[in-house]
Amino acid sequence: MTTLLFVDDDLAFLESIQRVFKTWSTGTPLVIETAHSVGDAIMILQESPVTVVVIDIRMPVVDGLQFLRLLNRKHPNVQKAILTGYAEEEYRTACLAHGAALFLEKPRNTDEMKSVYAALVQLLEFPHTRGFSGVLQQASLADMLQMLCTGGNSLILQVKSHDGLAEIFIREGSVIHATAGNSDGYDAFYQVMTLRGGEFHTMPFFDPPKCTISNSWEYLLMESARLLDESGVLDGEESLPAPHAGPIPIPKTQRITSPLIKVVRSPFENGSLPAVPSYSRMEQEMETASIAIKPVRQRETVPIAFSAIRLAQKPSSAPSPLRLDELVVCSPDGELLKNVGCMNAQRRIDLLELFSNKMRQLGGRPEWGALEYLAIQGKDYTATVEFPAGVGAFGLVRRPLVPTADLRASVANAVQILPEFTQASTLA
Amino acid sequence: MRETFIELQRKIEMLPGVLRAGICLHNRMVIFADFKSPGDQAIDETIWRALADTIQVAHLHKLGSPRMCWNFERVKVLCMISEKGTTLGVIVDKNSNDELGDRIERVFRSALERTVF
Repeated sequence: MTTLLFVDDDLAFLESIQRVFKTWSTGTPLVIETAHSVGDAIMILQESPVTVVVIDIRMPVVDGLQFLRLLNRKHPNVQKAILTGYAEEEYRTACLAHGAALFLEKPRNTDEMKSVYAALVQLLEFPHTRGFSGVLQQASLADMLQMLCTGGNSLILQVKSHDGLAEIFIREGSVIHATAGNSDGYDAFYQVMTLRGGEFHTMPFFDPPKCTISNSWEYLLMESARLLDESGVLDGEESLPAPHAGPIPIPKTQRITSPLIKVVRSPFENGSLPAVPSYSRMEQEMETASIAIKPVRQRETVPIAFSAIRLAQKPSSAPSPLRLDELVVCSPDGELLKNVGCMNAQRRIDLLELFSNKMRQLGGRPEWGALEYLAIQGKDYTATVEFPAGVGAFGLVRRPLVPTADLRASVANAVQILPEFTQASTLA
Repeated sequence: MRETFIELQRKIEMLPGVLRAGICLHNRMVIFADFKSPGDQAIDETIWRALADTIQVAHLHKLGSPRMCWNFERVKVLCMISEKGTTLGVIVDKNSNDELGDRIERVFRSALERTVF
């Protein structure tokens, strides 16, 4: 049985439409209900299942748009249609943006009534397919989340797995809340992001009962990637993702229960960093490791934007090239072009992508000018990030306070011999 | 707490060569006051938050306790982070040297000792 609920403050119209639609739907499982106010409609919705709610926009007390928002929160699975005498473009846009599947003009004669009836019956025949669904085997949930956040979307990402239902609330591109079983907040988010398989759906957004997550989505994804890395899944230690597999068991001590940075300890800080092997040995190890451990996956993320970045110029005083302990160079699409000494080049590429994105946020201010480079100074290392003519480059020396000019010169030398760089420079 | 950070911002902005400063807490809340020329606070909040996101993620990449310096054509943007995730962003004159960065860091660390952040 399917139920159409008309909500309108015009009693005469409600009586008319109920009478006509009942006649036309004789012999079908269609039930026509009417409500004279939003309050009446809510009572009907609470008492019996409704398939489609047809709403007038201009109603006293609570108007159609407010009711749409309410339905999104309280009854997200109910289809919504608008039937109005004010079919203006601004209303149409607003209603569709708030989850209405149809925006129809109120009928003024029998023919128009038939058109409305046909449109609503068609809507009833289709399952509620707002958004999309899929099986997470080839796609990564992180990629999906990144896409949704980058687009500034407001929605709920619902993930079903063998372990149950989980939801990630995204408001205007920011993750604000997550639930998974009895958990919520960061714990729930990381549980979802470390699932090895499942189904996902997007649902219309409604405000969660509380906001439990405040970190940026980049931070959350990086942390999820770290947890996945440490669980060994991405390194090929696990079999292919199983559709019904549960979350990867993460030792409780590694779970992030609050966004505090202090839970992440760098080996650099406690002095446990192993002795750095010589450059040539590291290169050999890297070449072997890249085949044996993990091929670098092809990226399908937002391309790194380099167009606004001018080529880093060599400093005027002659710099002394250094032996780099780490060098990762990638194309604008995030494809690895060169790796020396980095055991997880993909994470460096992720970092370069982040820097590139943030650089776009920071840049574009005429009073600052273009970005030349980013220098990073740690207790035990010095690093630079540059985006010369079409490539992203991360160079690191495991010594503090290394002159930036020397480090940049070494990175520039390494990048300039790459064919991709030469080609990009020529095109530029 | 807010007063402590506003005071920190004021102290840092008094250093020669510093153009502006802002603080972003571990929960991404931005603390910022217009001591200098009035600016669009919404834009500034975006900047401080972007700086904080970047340095936090770098931290996750085992680039521990970093101090970052975004070198633009006409300014430098320094960024440093506390153990507990509070981030300081400072826009400084292009010609300022590393000593200014060290001074700023000393003021920052010293202020943090007096807070739980």
